[in-house]
Amino acid sequence: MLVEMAVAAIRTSALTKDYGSGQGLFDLDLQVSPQQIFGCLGPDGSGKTTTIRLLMSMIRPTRGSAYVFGLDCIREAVEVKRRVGYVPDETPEFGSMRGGEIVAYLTGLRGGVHKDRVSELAERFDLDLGRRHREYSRDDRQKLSIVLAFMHDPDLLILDEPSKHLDERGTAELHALIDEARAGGATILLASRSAAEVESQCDVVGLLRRGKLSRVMRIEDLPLELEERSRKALPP
Amino acid sequence: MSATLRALGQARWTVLAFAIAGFATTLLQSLAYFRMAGHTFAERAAFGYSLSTEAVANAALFSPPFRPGTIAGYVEWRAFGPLAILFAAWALVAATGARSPQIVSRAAAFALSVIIASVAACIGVLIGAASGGESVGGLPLVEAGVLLVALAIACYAICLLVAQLTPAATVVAGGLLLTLYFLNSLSRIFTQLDLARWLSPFHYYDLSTPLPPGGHFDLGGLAMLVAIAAVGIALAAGASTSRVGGQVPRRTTHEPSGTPLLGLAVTRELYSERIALAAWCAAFAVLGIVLVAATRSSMQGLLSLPRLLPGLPQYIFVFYAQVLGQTWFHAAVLMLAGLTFAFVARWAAEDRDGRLEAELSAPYSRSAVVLERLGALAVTAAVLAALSGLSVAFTSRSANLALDPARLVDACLLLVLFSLVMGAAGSLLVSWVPRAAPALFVGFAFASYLDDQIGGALGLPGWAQSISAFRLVGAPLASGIDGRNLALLLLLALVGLGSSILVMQRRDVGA
Repeated sequence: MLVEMAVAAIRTSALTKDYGSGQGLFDLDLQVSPQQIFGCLGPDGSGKTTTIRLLMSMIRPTRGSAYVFGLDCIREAVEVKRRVGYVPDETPEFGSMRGGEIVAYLTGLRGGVHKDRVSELAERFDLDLGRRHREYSRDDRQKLSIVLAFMHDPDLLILDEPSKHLDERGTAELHALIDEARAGGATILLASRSAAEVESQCDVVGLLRRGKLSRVMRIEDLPLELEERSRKALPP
Repeated sequence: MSATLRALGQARWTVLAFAIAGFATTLLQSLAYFRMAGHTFAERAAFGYSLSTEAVANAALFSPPFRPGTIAGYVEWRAFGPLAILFAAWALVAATGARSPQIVSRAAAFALSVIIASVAACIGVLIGAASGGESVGGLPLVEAGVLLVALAIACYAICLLVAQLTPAATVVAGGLLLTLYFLNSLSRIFTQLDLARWLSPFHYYDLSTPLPPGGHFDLGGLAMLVAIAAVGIALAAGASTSRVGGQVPRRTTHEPSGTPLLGLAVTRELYSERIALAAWCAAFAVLGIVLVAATRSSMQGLLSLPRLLPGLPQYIFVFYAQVLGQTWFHAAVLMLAGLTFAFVARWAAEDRDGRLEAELSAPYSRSAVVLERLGALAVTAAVLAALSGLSVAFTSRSANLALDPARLVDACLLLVLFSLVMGAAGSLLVSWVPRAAPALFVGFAFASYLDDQIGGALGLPGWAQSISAFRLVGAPLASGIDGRNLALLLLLALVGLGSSILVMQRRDVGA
């Protein structure tokens, strides 16, 4: 148990994905402690999604390394994903499959998911699992992604703009779920463009800009930092 | 207009692939003609006669040639005929694959695409004929191109209309197109179908033989194809508009699906395609029955030809296996190539639509993705081959036509292996360039087919001919399995599988 606690939930070292023309992520050194809620804050193109895709081994780094609970994100990708729940930036398209079939398909790949937990989550988000995916609104598709990420009560939740497309009630339910996951001992990496969302949910925040991590700070310091930045941005 | 150009831009890889396929088919067939047909009038007449004989055996599948001893007649039969089928398949995929509701813009974009591909095919004829010091008339060539375009758009309109009426659009439209095709082709053998052949757009295409000297262009047939296209697209646009907002209220459920098939490897891949697979099963079973009956009729036609070798009828059993090899086995191979294309297109769509990313967010390795995909294809091909083989065996027996059961089993096993080789190639393309993979796969499959059909005539080296999967499957009904070819097929399947796993491991997903 002591050994487990000592291992960082997420650790990256000089993690780089270079798409050329200055696009991508560069030399990211990041450490997220277990049970921490870490916010990645930055505008579009700042490298939030690239960071997350590297951690999920969807893309391969140009250089550097990434570890989740001490497991190498590339070499031990399957073991990493056993412990991770993931909400992607873009919701996938499942065509004519029904919501319930998609859940059954992905729980079949994952294994060890309780049906009752799925039903509870779907009920909380008022998500009809009997409808076909192509009939889902953007809001419903995002809710399905959230159900799929939380259904196995993972140790680490990697959430890429999870409240995108959600209505007010859905957002509130998501934040309640994040609170419950935190109380249950999960670590959370939350990427967002919204400072308000990060401020309300996270313990620590990392500011990303043009593919580089410019600062990591406690959440209490975020308003001052943002104020400082907006003052600098104003003309004299 | 901008929506049309946008749709055309999105389909640029596909247009390029079909344009290359059209150009290559007509050019290579023209070159093959000059190598095979000889130079004197007598040589060409003998060549034309041998093709006419071959056409009698294949009457259930392809329309008979008109003056195949001439360059124009040969190209019309061996290049424009297959291109008509290829473009119809393209129409099916284009009409049922896209999700955009802008019906008319999509139809216009498809029309422009098919015009580009047809022009490429016509240019191939001009260059091919010129290489042999001959020429093909400009107007007949334009007429052949226009017919190809009209048939493709008519098929597109039919599929587009079906897509507005049913959620299982690809299956239903594919089944309908196949039915319409066989309605026309089988009516050449079964006169009872004559009354219904007017329903088939392929009938109106067959009415014209514009290219060869003395051929004719049926303006009425072209008008019917244009009418089918116009009415189909108008009805599809109407159906699309009236469908918006027509949701039926139903009971809400929060329970995940309880079907155990979604929890098992391979079956979970096939579950979402179960309606399509049921249609494929029905098509393969019917194919066996229909083609045995058609082969029987073709044989009677062949045996009545005056210039066949005397005493040939006593080799009736060998002859039956040979003819059935040309009809059933040939058709099954082509259909399995089509099935493999459907799988490849689906794998590419999984990548494009983020479904692969969702799968890989579970503890599920990339090599497992490749293995399970090919496993699903192998299981499907095995079921289809078994169904078709059984239907051939029972129909042959009931028609008192003897067929070696061991060779029939060999043929069915080769069909599965053929699908695996094509699937492994498709898997490699999807792992490498998922967005362009379906178009590249069409190009690969068509090149393999042409390699088998005219590789020898074009003087391709032996090794190049012997790696075409269409060549390697051989003629198992007539001559059994060739051990070397079997080993090569297995090797190709393993190389394709291994390399697609390696490429898949290293590439970015969803980037």
